[in-house]
Order: sequence, then structure tokens, then C-alpha cells
Amino acid sequence: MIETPNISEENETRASIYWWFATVFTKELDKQQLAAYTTGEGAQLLKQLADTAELSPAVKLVNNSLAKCMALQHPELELAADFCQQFLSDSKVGAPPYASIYLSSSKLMYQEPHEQMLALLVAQGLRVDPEFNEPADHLAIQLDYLGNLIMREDDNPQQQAEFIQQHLLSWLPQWLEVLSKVSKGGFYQGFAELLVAYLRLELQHL
Amino acid sequence: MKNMLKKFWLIVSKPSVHLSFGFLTIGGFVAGIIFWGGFNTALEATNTEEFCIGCHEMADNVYVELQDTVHWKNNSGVRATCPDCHVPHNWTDKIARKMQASKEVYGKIFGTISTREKFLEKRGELAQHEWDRFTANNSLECKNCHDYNSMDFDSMSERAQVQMKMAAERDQSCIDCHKGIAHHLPDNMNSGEGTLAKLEEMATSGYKKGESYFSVRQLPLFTNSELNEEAGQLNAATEVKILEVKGDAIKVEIDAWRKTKGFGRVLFEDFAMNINDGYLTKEVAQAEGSMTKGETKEDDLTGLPWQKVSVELWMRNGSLTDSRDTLWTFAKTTYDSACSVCHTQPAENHFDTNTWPGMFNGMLSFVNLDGDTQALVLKYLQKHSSDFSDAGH
Amino acid sequence: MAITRRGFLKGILATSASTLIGPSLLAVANDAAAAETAGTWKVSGSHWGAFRARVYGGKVQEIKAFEADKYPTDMLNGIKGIIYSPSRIRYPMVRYDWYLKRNKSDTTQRGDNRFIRVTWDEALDLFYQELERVQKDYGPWALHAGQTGWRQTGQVHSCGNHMQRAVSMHGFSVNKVGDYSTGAGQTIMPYVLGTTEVYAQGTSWPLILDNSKTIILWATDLVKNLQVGWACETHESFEYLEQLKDKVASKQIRVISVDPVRTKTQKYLDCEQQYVNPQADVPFMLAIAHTLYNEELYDKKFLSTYALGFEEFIPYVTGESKDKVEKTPEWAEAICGVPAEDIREFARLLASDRTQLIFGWCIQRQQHGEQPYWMGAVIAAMLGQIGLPGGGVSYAHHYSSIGVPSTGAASPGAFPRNPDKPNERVHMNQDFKGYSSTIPVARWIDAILEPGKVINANGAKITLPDIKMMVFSGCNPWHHHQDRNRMKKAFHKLETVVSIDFTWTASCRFSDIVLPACTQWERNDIDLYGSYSNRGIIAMHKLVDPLYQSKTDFEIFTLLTQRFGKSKEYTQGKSEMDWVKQLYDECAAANKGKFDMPDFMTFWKEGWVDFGKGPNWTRQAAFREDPEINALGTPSGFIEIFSRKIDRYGYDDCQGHPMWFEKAERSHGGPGSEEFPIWLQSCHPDKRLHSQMCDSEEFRATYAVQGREPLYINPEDAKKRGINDGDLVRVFNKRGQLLAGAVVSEDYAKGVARLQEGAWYGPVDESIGALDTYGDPNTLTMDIGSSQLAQATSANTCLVQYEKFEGKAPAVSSFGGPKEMA
Repeated sequence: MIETPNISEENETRASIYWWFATVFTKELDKQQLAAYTTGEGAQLLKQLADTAELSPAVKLVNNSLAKCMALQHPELELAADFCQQFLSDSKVGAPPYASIYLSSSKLMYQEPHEQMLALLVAQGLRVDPEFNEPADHLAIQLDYLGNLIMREDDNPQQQAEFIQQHLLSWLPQWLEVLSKVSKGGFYQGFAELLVAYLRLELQHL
Repeated sequence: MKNMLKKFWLIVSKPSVHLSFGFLTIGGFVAGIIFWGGFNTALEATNTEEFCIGCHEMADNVYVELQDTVHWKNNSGVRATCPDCHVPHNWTDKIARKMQASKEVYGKIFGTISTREKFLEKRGELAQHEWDRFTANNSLECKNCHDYNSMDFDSMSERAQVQMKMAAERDQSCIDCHKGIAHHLPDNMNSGEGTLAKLEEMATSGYKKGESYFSVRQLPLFTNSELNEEAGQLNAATEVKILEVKGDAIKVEIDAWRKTKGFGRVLFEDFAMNINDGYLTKEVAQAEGSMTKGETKEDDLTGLPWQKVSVELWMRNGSLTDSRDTLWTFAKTTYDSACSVCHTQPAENHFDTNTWPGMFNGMLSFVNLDGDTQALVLKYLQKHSSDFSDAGH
Repeated sequence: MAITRRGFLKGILATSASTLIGPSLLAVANDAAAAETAGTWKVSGSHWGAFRARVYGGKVQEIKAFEADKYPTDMLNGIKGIIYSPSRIRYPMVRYDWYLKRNKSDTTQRGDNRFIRVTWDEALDLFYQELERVQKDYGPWALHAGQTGWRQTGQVHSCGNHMQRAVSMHGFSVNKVGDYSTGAGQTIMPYVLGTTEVYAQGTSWPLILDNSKTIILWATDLVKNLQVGWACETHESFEYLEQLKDKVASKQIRVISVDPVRTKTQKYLDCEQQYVNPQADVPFMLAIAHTLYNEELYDKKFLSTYALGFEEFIPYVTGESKDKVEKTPEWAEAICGVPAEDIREFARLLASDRTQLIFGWCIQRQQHGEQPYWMGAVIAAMLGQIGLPGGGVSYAHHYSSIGVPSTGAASPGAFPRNPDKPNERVHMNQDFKGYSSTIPVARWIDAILEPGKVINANGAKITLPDIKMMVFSGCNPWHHHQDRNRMKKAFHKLETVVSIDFTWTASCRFSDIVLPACTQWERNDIDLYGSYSNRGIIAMHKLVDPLYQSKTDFEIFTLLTQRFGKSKEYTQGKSEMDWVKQLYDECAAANKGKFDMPDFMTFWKEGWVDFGKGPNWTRQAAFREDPEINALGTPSGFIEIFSRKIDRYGYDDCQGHPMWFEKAERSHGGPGSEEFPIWLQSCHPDKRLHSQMCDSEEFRATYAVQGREPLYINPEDAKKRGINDGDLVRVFNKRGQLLAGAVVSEDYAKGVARLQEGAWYGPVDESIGALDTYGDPNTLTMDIGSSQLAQATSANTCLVQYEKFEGKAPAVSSFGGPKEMA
């Protein structure tokens, strides 16, 4: 492992937040994680984010839907089913988190956004973890990459801003629109809104 | 806080390797240019027997072998020499062949077939080149003398007639069936890796007079113990009773039924069941005295008259087994694997005896079974059809 | 770095959020990925053709037809759309309610439900536990894993083989006989001509081209259907079709297409059409027989030498049998719509010179579908040209290169479908509790709805088993079976349904456990090319690694069999490449001495082995030469114009000789045509292989109308209903309703409409009768057996009405994963 002595605490935080978002859009919550969002560190994190006015409506949506969900018999399975319908099915019935679907004329997977991301990864000597085995324009991979970009030794706010604009905000609003149609105000829509709001906020500061 | 930082930026710089591509793009060869005039002159000089046996590899191996065959000595006085079979008579093909033959000439120069042993080792490969060529040109050289159109089928044996007519109709390449007629076959072809050998392995020996046995494959039948007067063919897995053993020949009795429409040539195992036991030549089928005729019944389901017959004929001593069990095991394995390539194979008892031939024939397009195995598998299916087993339907 | 700029981050990391951050999704790259520049060309194949693909960056970039294919189809353009379809199944999934309650789940939610993702381990555990439960709680009669479909190409990964081998190693189950394409034909023809005919090599095209004076294309669309093949297609037939076109132009051969529709072939050849009312071919044929008989144009010598039962048949034609109706051309005209004099002329033409009759499969996919095939053989026998080059009758010249001379080379075998140790299954229980262990393929919905019911089928009594669990692999019954709404009711009764596929078909949406297989281009394989011509062998190089969490069928079932200790027997200890090599080597051994095949590595690198052109061959020539030795496979060994065997079955809907039976529904004045006047033809599609490739979006857009499957209709019919080309229409009958896009064309006769089968089903909701949003014809078709003989599908016996669709059209829901619709 390479030591990273020059990373500021703030950048660590920022990177961690992107990795946190990446994790949310990677996999369904297990019981422990769900508990963390209701009473544990997740809840606290959300609370802190909600302190920022731009982020508070999204946090509210997350918390409200979480509360509704907890009243059901199998909250984590309910959320898993939501996750499945919204992210794991296709663009007709869900809102799969791949840039290609929203940006390419063919609406196919693995289109130009995938290749652009791949080029970025290759340039850095990286690739998608074979265990994950998703196209490189999967939202979680993009967020993971962004976190890494922030953690790089050189201070590169310009690059970060460009990445957010060109690779994320280029399609996330469209994705959010589709998602709100299928999610109807659910937990993951809340998270998606939170992410977009957060990215916009970041842009103002970069 | 540091414990949160599970990820680190890793910059890996590796030298780039350019992968070669296009190894599959074809058309990359460069065709040579032949100067036709000069080449033709040289060709005529090489086109004689003396040229061919000018090296000992040819003279000591294939040329000697040829001398024991009908292509060397026969009652017509016509002899086939090397170039008759091996150098194409068509001018442009000839050039192509000469180019290929240079490989064998190379063989001499570099000594790869300089001894009998080395030649024998290489024979398979060399023979294969020739067979491929015959296959490709549809046995052109053979047909310069042996023309399907001028064959007198009537003077052939029954079995030959059937085969030759089928071959003629498809203008089949002679070499498909007639390999090893002018030179010896490569060794491994006699040791038999095909199903024929597998079938032969199932044969038992030391047949006892008065006992019954089953044929392991299709076998020729004869009217005499010299085994030179063709009487027909015994089908695979057919029961015969040994009446007499005389050296290489055995006299067998076949108890069967036949339809009396037509010449009554086909023998069936049982009344109204199209389980083929073999067939007879027209002469044998029609001759009085060659068989004992029993009762005659009409098959209700087709309206055809059937007759019980007992035929006594000669065959070669061998290729019989005392039980059908091993044959059936082999047939079942073959059926289960070969016939499930496209779909689930129907259970044996899904059809009745007389439905199986049609169903089975319809399945043969994508399976690789030789004639003997086909006959055996069909008989297995018929003998295990719903007429013989009703379990599991 | 000015921390103040990001005041909103302040204090956030005061808490440890470690449980909320998962592992990295990125890894260090290996050299190759970073170094690739232009990519690699690889060879592969498909039902649509062989091709070369340029692969770069782990992605298929470009596809071009294999150079040996001189007539490639444009369907190759759809392949990338299959691989990169957003409708791919990316992860193993389980229906939510089933996950909670297993076999006690609310099955009425099927097709309208949420799924959850599970790991491969969990999914396969569930699959295995269900197999166990069904074998233990019920028995082999409750499991039906016998339905198989057209698979993807490749002999190692042939998906039906994998699924059935694995399931059979666990225990016994219900099997099927027949198939949806040729059920009636393959059942009747062995009685008549001694083989299924539908899957038999036909007379070689060169012989037809040289000898036929007249070719009758009877409900067959060669140009459309020869585009696809069972194995890898390379379209050699099209060379002969081109020659035929020339011969039609120069009037050397007269070709007549007998069809209610102007087919693609008719238009390609620029040949004549003989219109016949839908489903009324048999009266037309009987009248032809009547003319041949009355005008003594038939071959008496041929009939007496080669056929049986003409004497028992002819009284039916002359009106001397039970029904006392003479089958005159005038009688037929009223039913088939062909003027009596034209029928006579047609009959005379057939008898005038060498005539080749070529039938397609559509007319046997109808009620009493056995009859037109049988009657076709009777006419051919009367003409006396069976066994002559360019004469006689064939039933499959539209299929998988049939008619292209076979090389006779051995083709590669397949991964074994059967267990190696059939007597050592986990469950050896073979007690079917009185139920039949094998059922006619199209009667499984009947079985689910009416278990225990006894039906007749091909001379046997079948007791329909009480099926509780179904397993489908590469099989899409929600495309190929008839009557969707009836299927919905049946699926309410199933406890567990497992589907293995690479894309979200309707069948997957109606399942409980869905496992993602990869496509055929994500695995190494080997295939025959040229189908029936055995032209050569092609390597199927893996173009890219299996996408997402998908796996090869080989891996999926290796993992399943591991769960009951059978994986060693399953794989025989061999890897995927070992199997590819083994199939090649076995094939090379079988071809030794006949066809030279290079060693495996050379072949794999080159990508193919060509066996060249085969010799010409005439169907039934051997029989004609010597009917005794080369007897047919019929009970008598002769052509059976009358079958005593069928007669003895005593079926009223399939008797001792071919007959005309009125249909349950028939247009042009037939039963039901007052209320539903339009005959709906659901033939094989022009731009798909059945339902395969319907999910390829860009390619689908080249033929869809307003995003819906095209409904081809007659201009006069359209005008009457105020429909213009391109309008959305609602097609309906008492069984169901669907949306489709109108294509108005003179090619379709009045009262005739076409909706190609294989259009994906996508109902607006789970209710019975819900509107199908894309245009799956089987929403409307009838689920009845052809007759008590074949019990085959009767898809082409179907009447409908259609109207212009007004209002807001619901979105197409056919393509994509499951969702909660209500």
C-alpha cells in the first residue's frame, strides 16, 4: 500500500462520503446497515447532512420512507425488493444506474460512457473489481472513482469538478426523473436526490 | 478516522504491450505465379511409371504392394500404372498434384521415409493425402476406367448391387468405400478404432452345432459352403441356429417371417413385426427348396399376407455372440448419447415396434452412426418397444 | 485548501460510519487490459449466421458476416443489441412473495410481482431444496423439466442438455414428446411415408432445378425461413433460390405459391400465387385428387407398386363413403374459394410434367393439421413421382439448409443430455402414481389445469400428471404456447417455477427463481455450420467474459449438481474447453479417412473447417428403386394412403385416410367468422428466430410500428375500420386482446391478418384478459390439440377482430425485468 501523507482530513471526509454513496447504490442493505440508518451511525450521518439546507429535503424523504418501511413485517426485504426493481431491472420498469442507458442513442449497456470511464480507469492503472463485474459507467463505480480522485496526492479540484459535471451530472438528473416515476418517493429516491443535491453543492465549492 | 480509509489511490504504470491482432484475417497468403509453358514440358517427363519408381521409397513399398492386386494382374490384361491413378489426367489438376507431390520428394531428400519402418509410420499421413485428393475430385482417376454409367448392376452380387446403385445415384467418390485396394491400408486402420471393431469384439467363438447365436453386425449369406454364391444379408442382432460347421464356413438356420407381396425377400423376426432379420437375393427368395415354408397369415393392421419361413444358408464362421445382452447394452448407450444431441430421446417403449423404423430414420440427420450400428440400434429399440414393455408409459 | 468553503461537511466524521462503507469496487489493472489498442477479431456463430467480431476493451465493437456466407442476413445487426440489452438478467433473483413463503406463495401475483436479488449460492440452494421437496413430498410426476426451446447455438452449452442432465441426476420427472413447430406433421408422417419428413433431408436443390418443371410452394416461405437455422446458419440455400429466380424469369420452371398471403418468397422469385382460403387447403386438395382420378391423370402403376389403401380412400373422394359427399371442385370452391375450373387446371398442371410439391409447416400448426400433410402425400403418390429427382413431395425445404446437398461428414456431438449413471440418481422413485410420464409437448397447460384427465394421443391413453414445479432453461413458453390468459390460470396452480435465461422474457417474469445464464457469445463452444448440409464446423470463440453475474449453463449446473454430490459425474471432470476439444476430436475421429480435419489447436485458431459441397441426393429414390429392401418405415413398408392403424384408434378427428374436417374457427364463412371475421396467421417471424432477438431494441425498431409488433392487414379491411398504415390497433377475440401497429398491405387477402409469433408478451397487469401491450399473437390463439392423434399445437386456427385504438396507449411492458404493476 502506498502511504498518502498529504491528504487532508476534509478530503478524507469527502472521499468517504462518495464511497458511502457508492455503497448505497451497490448493494441492498443488510439488517445491520438498516439498523444503522434507523438508530445508529447512519442516522447520525443523515442528521448531520440535513443540517445543510440544500440537503435537508432529501434527508427528510429518506427518513420518512424509512419510517414507513420499518412498520412493515420485513423492512430489509422490502427495501431489497425496491432496490431490485429500481436498480437491478431494466430502464422500462426501473432506473438502472448506468450512464449508457441515459446518454447513448442506442439505449444499450456498455456504450460510450462505459468506454470513457474505462479509459479513465485504464489511464490510472485501474479496472473494475472482477467480483463486481459491472460496466464502468455504473454509478457506484463512478462514485468510487471520484472518491479515489479526491484522495490523490495532488490537489485537483478542477479535475474533480470536471468529473462531476461530465460524468455524473450529465446523466443523474435524467436518472432521478426516471427513478422518481418508479420509486414514488421511496428510500432510494431519497438517496438519489441526496446525492444529486450533494454533488451540486460540491460543485459550488470546487 | 484513519480506519475509515480503506481505499488508496494506486498508480500503476506498466509498459504497454501491443497485442497482435488479425491472425484470423484470411487472404494474407501470396499466390505464386507459375510460368505455364516451361512447367508443362517438365511435367510430361515426370509422367511415367519409371519416373515414379525411380526412387526406392516408391519401388520397395507401394509398387510391390500393387503387384498383388487386381489392378496389376487381371483377366482383362489391362494394368493400372502409377500415373493412371495418382497423377490427374486433367491438365490443371495435374499441376496442382505435382506441386503436392513435391512433399513426398522432399520426404526422400530428407530421408523421412527412407526405410520400410519409417514409411509404414508415415503411411497413414501419405495415404490420407491421396484419399483427400480422391475425395476432392470425386475419384476422377478411378472413373476414367470405372464409370457408373457403364456398370452392369445385374451381374453384381445382391449386396454389391444395392451399394453400387446407391453410390451411383449420388455419384459417390469410389474411395469412400474402396480404400486399400491397390496398396496396403495403414496399420491402425486394420486394428480398428471404429464401431465395427467394437461390434466384432462382442463376438464369441467356438460355435456349437445345434446352438443358437446372434449376429453382432450385418453379415453376408451364401448358398454354398465355399462362400462364393451370394444369398443375401443377415441383419445385426439376428438369431441363427448352427446346423453345420465346415472350416471357415457355418451353415445356419434362420427362422423368420416374410411378407409375400413382391418377391418376399425381406426376413422379419416375428409375424407382423417389421424387425428386420436380413434379406435374400431374388433367386434365393423365389427358389423352391431353399426354405421351408410354414403357415401364412394376414396382418390385420396392413392387410398384407405374411408367411413363416425357415431358411438354411451358409455364412462365414464368426461375428456371432451367444446372447443379445451385450449388443443391447451397446445399442442403448449409443442411442442415449447419439440421439439426445438435439432433444430428449423418446423412451424405448414410447413407440411400438413398427413405428420405430420411421421415427428412428427421422432422427438420423444429426447423428454419426454407421450402417451396422444404425441397424443394431433400431433393432434394440424395436425389441424394447411398447410391444415388449408397457412399463413407464 | 480552504476548509471553510465546505462548511456543510463540518463535524460529519465525528461519527464512525464504517459499517456503511463497503469494499472497493476498483482493483489494480492487469497489463493486457491497459495495453489493448485496436482489438481482436474472433469467430463465432448463431442461428442467424456465422460472423467475425472485433472485440476491444472487453466489448464487442463490430460484427461482420463470415466470408463463407454469401447471403448473410441483416439479423446479424441485432446481435450487439442482445449482448448489451438493458433487459438482460444480471443477477440471480427470486420472486419476493415466493422468497417469503416458498411453495405457499401467492401465485396470483405471478407476472406482477417484485423480485429480490440473491447470491448464486442462495439461489442454487433454493433450486436444489425445491427439487428435493417435490421429489420427497410428491414424486417424479410433480416435476416437469421436459419443456425445451430453441436454445442458443453451440453444442457444448446446448442449454436443454445441461438442465436435463442435471435434473435427471437428481431424479425422474415428466417428459414431453413432439415440439411446437411440427407436432402434427411429425406424428402423422411416419404412418404415411415412414419418417417424420419434417426433419429429414430433402431432394437436393440442383436436382430440383434441373428436373422440376413445376414447383408448388405450399404454404412455405423459403426466403423468410431459410434465414435462420437450428445450428449455425451459412445460407447456402440462397444460391439455389437465386438460380430458381432466374429459371422462373426464363420460364424454365413454373413456381406457384399456394398461400392466402403473397409471401416474401413469391415476391423474391416473382412467381405466381394460387390463393386459397385460410385453413381450407384440404378441400382444395381433395378436389385435385377428384380431378386426377376422374380425368385418369394419376399413376396407377405407382400406386399399386408403392402404396396401400388407395381403394379405401377413393370412395371418399367420389362420394361413395359414409358422408356421401363427392369432393368435386365445385364442392371445394365453396370452402376454399378457388374457382372449380381453376382447381381442375391446377390438377392438370401437376400431372402434366415433373412436379415438386414443397410444403411448409404453417398448415400443420392448425386444428386437424395432420390432414393437409397426409393429403399432400396422397396427391404426390397419385402423381407417381415420389423418388424421382425434382418430383414427389417434401415438407422441410424451408428449414435449416435442407435441400443443400449433405457432405456426409460427421458433425460434432453435444454435451450429454443423459446422466452417465442413470441408475444412480439421488431419487430413484419412478412411481408416477398412475400419471403418464411423457405427455404431448403442447398439453402441459392442460395437465396443470386438469390433472388426472385422460386424453388420447397417437394411439395411447395419456393420464395428465399433476405438475407442481416446472424448470425452463433457454425456453420461453410465454412465447410459444397458446392462449396467455389460460396460461395465467395454470400458473396460479404451480408451486414453483425456475427459469434459466439471459434476458427477461415473459417466462422469467412468471417464474419464482430466475437464474442469469450468459449469452452464447460469452463462452467457448463449437458448432456445425450449414445445418443439414453438414458443410463444416465453426469455432465459437468467447467474445467477452460473462457479463454481470451471469454464468455459463455448464457452470450453473455444475454448481447445482454439487449440491447433491453429482458434479463430478456431471462434468466428467472436464472443463468447458476440454468439452469443446473432446467434441472436436470425436468428430475428427468419425471423419477420419473421409474428411481431413486439422488438430484442435489449428482449428481453434483458424476458426473453422470446411467440408465442401456434398453430392446430390433424391429423397425416396432408394424406396422407388427397391421398395422391398428399402421399405418405408410405415407399418406396411409402403406409402399408406389408408392407415388401418390410425383407423383402429377410432378417433373422430383423425380417421383412416385424409379427410376434410371443419375447424372450430374458420374465416371466410366458416364457424365463428360472423363475430370474428379475420383469420390471424402467426407464422415464423422474418426478423427474429421465434422470440429470440425480439429484445434487441435498435433492431426491433427497424420493423416495429409505434414500438409495437406489426399487424399486417388487407387495405379493404383496414379502410372499413378507418385504419391507416402506422395506426395503433387493438386486436381481440374472446380469449384476449393486444395492441399492435398496423401495416396495410396488398400482400394480405381480405379477411387475413398476420402477427408473427415470437413477439414478446407484456400485459398491462396480471389480471385475466389484460391488454397485451406489444402484440404477442398467442394472447389470442386457441389452446387445443390438433386432434387426438398428434395433440399438437393449433395456433393457426384463430379468428380475431381488430379496431383502431383510440386513447392513450399504455407503455410497452414486454421488455425488461419484473415489477409490481398493480
